[in-house]
Amino acid sequence: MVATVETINQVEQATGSYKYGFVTDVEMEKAPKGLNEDIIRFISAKKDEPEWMLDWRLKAYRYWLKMPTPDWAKLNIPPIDYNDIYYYAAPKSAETPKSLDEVDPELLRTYEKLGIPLNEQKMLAGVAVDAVFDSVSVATTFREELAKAGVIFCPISEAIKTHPELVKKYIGSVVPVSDNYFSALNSAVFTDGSFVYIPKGVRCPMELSTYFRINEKNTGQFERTLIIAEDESYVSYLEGCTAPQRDENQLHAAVVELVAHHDAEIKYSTVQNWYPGDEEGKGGIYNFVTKRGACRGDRSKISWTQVETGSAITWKYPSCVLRGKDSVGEFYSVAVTNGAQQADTGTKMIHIGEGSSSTIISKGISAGKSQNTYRGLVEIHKGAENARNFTQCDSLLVGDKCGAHTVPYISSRNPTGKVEHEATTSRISEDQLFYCLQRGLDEEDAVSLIVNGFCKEVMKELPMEFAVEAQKLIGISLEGSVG
Amino acid sequence: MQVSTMQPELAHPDIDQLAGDAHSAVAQTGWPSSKHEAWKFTPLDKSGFDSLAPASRPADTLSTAQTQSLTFKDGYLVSAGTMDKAISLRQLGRDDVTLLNWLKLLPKDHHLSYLSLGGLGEAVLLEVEASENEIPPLTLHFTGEQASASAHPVVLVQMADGARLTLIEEHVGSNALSAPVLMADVGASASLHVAKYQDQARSTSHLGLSVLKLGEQAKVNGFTLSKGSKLARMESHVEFMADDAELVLSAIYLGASGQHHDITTVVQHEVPNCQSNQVIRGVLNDDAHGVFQGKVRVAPDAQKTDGQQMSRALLLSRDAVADAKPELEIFADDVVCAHGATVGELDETLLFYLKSRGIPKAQAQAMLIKAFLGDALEQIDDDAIASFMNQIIDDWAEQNNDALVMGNS
Repeated sequence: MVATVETINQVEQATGSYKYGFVTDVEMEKAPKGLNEDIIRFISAKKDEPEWMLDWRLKAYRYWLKMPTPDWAKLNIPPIDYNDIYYYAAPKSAETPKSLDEVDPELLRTYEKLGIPLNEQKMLAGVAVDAVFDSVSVATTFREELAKAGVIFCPISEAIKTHPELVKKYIGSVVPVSDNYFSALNSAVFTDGSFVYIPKGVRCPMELSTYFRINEKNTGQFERTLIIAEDESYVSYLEGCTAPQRDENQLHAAVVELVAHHDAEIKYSTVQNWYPGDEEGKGGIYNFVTKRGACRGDRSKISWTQVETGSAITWKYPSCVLRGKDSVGEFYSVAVTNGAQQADTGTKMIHIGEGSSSTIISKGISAGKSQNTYRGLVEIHKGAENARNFTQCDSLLVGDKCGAHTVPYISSRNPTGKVEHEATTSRISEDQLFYCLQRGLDEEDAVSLIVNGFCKEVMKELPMEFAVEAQKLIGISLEGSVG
Repeated sequence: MQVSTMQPELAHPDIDQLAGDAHSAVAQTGWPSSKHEAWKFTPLDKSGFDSLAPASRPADTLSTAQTQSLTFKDGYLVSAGTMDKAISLRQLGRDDVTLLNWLKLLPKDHHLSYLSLGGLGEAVLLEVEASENEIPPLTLHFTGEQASASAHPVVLVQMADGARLTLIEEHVGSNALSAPVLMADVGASASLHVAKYQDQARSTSHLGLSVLKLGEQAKVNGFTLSKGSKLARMESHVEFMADDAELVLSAIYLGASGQHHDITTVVQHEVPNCQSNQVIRGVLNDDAHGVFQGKVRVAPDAQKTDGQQMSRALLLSRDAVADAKPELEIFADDVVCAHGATVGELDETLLFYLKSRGIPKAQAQAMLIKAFLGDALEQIDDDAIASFMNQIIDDWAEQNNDALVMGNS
């Protein structure tokens, strides 16, 4: 309570008033620590948001206050003090730069260290990057080319202002504010994220990409991503995450909503390698993400591919609501945990439409003292005639101190629906290891090679840009797990 | 069940304590709703158990029977047959410390444990010695007439090292709720077969709990056929206590109009080198609801564990519902564990094939249903029991098939 009062005082001092009273030219770079309605008003004011957005945030916050912290996952989450977190932090140059030249060179150098050379990517990779440094987008590229195709790709804070009708229509329509604890929190305090709109019949001319970074100490990151694919459109979206080393745990609660209309396809790929903490798990990122796609149109398709190697705690279930007739949902996942990492991840496939089908391929690799859980739901609703699901979950254990768990839920309410689930758990085969070793590979390389082979079904789903990085990542993540 | 209606006359202070704890737990949390993870698919909060009281001891005096059997009525032992000399039977009073020690082995924080402890009826202990001769099967017959009461019989089986026993459990009768408990401690190299058949009246509920502990090189083969009751949950908890033990657990549920069948298993590999294999099959007609929950846990040191599990449900009707939650929880690396689960309807191509060979549709369907259940039935390695179960399935398939064919035409 003391913290809250203090926060209120600070806000009051900084702004001179509470109620709707924040002006956009507040010079604060950071809202004080803590979470209350005034902080939300501050964020909203900072973003120069319309009234409806603020109301929506406040509604979410009020839901959140009443919700219990979820405890069903196989995760040991230390208590989080939500009042000890900064909910808004902007980089020093808060002005949106017109071009890359205007971007703080210090910032650009950080990106380079992380292997995200904006300039090179602009020329070579043909990838448009909407880079989020802390909470404010600082550079967006290829806007013009995308604009020619009619594609809208911009920070969601901008879309709220420039395309309010689209944001208003779709935000919260896939993940309602009251959906879960972390999505409610995100809805209340989200600072930025990406907004993508692909018009009817357009195949997005390039792969869209956002690199998220967590940098500011004690800054919660609450991204909000919204992707809408109109009839007969296609988009492939890449999300990659890196974060520098930190001692204090950092909270990340993102929400990603995808909407696919008739014959549209959205491919969403993630490589997540946030700081996992040290050997004891100290200092890693808490990654509590709600990702959900709605296949609203007939023959629409949403495909999630994820390579999860980072974070101290991962709580993430990218899902598909297959409402459209003959709609398709896919989930390809590799989750690697090492050290003291904990991951509880999986997917939900909700079959509502006739002839909808889904495929789930999940590969979990546990090493060190880590715990890795696949948790999934396949639900065939009564009207989902001839729905089809195939699920395969394989777990690989490296070392005898870790755990691999599989918790699938299957629910079928239509006899014509067909659900198949299979799961296996084993360790790296001695034969394979021996074969690699006697070919002159050292043990670490051998394990990396075998694990990459084990994950191949998922890796081949990744866009080229990610595939190489992801393979390296898996090797790096397993460092120190053998020998 | 109301706290006030639970059995008052518990003599041993520690049993009183256990029962008291069970009372308060139930009084505090009530019967589990679908929010309770273990009861997600089989919530009990609307089952009306609150209005039930444990059955009173029937007036019947203990009679003897010719066959090797025990009969329980309303949860109390009413008849005991002549036992093989390797088997000794003891009724355990509520002041008996042996009973207390067994009850302490019930799963902790578990509603079925609360149910037994709170309503504790008759408890009998069967001690089985190793014998050179083949012991004929021992039948446990559970029946009941007090239609608005609940029955809580407890059967404890202590199997000495090297002992062998085949147990047949038959659950019939019409108590509103039957909550039988079977606990078996299977000694080193001992072998236990348990075949359970549940065909209670359709108005009843059955919440059965089996707790099995396996010693070194012990072998247990358990089979369950759940056919009766309106609501039936048959739950097994198996724990491997020493190396090289083997478990086969198979179950079949047959659901028709208004029925809810739940098969729940928890298999705990606490030690290395043990094997478990679970085969579950369910057929659901009309608006029946079938549930399978199966957890295989492998403890950190339980290396070389082989844990397999396969559950399949067949939906015969548009209104049937199947839920499954197979679960692997693995903390050891040198293991081979797998589970599989499927839900679907009869394969049209297979049906077409049989019909094209001149087999009438009804017969073809019955054949396919039986073939589907065959995998689970094959796990029984006692011919007499297998053919008994087979007959029940035949009758069921035929009966439900008529409805099915009529429904389809």
